[in-house]
Amino acid sequence: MQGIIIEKDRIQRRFEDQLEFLQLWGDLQKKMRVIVIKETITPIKELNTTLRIKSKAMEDEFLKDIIPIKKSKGIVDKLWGLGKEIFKSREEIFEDEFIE
Amino acid sequence: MSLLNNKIIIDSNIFLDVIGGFDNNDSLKSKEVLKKVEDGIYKGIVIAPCLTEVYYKIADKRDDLIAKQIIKNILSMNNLEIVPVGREESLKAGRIWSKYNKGKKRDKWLSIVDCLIISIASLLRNVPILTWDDRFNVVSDAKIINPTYI
Repeated sequence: MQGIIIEKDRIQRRFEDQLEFLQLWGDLQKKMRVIVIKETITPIKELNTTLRIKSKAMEDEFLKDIIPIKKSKGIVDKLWGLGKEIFKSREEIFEDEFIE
Repeated sequence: MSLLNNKIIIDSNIFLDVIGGFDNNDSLKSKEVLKKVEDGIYKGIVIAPCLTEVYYKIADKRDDLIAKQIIKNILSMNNLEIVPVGREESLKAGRIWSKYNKGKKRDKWLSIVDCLIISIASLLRNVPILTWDDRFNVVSDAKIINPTYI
C-alpha cells in the first residue's frame, strides 16, 4: 500500500467546498496510508501536495473503473463494430500514423 | 499455420480492425483470429502500450468514455495476457528503433510502440507478431505474421 504524508488542517482550509474535501479525504484513506503532520514547509509546497492528492485520487478512480473483475468469453463479439461510427473506413485506421 | 506454444503477440491494428467492424474479408479475419484467442486455440499477448494506442485512437475520434469501455472489454478477454514494458524491453526497443529507422524517411519509420513489440517478441524467444502493418516487413528480429496467413 502506498503512503503519503500530509498536513491535513491547512490543506482542508484551502478547499472552499468542505464536503468535497471530506469525500476526497475519505477516498484517500481507503486507498493509501495517510500520515498527518502539522508543519508545512512553504505554502507553495502545501498547494502542490493538495493538487497531487487530488490528481492521484482521480487517477485511482479512473483505473478502478477500467480494471475488469474477471475474464470472459464473447468479448470479441461485443467489440465487433463498437467503433463503426468512429472510423469511417478501414483505411482510416491504417493511414493515420500512430504517434511516434 | 502452426505456432510455437501457440503464442502470438497481437498488434493494436487487429483490435482496431475488429472495433471498426468493417464489412470486408480482412476485418473478418481479424475477428476470426481474436475469436481463436478467446477460445484458447492461440494464447494472445498484448504489450501494454498497445492499449494506449487503442485508447487514444478512440478517444481522439470520439471520447474517453467509449475508449474506457473498449479497453475494459479488451482487458476482460479470455486468454489474453497484457505484458508490461520494463527497462530491458525499453532499452532493446531503443536499439531496434535505431537499427530500422535511422537514415530512413519518417513515413517509413516503425513507431516506438512497434519497436517495443519487436523487443518483447524477441525477448520472449521469438513469439510471432500478428499485424496488418507492412512496415514490419523489414524486421528480422522477430517473426511477423500477416493475419491472412494464419
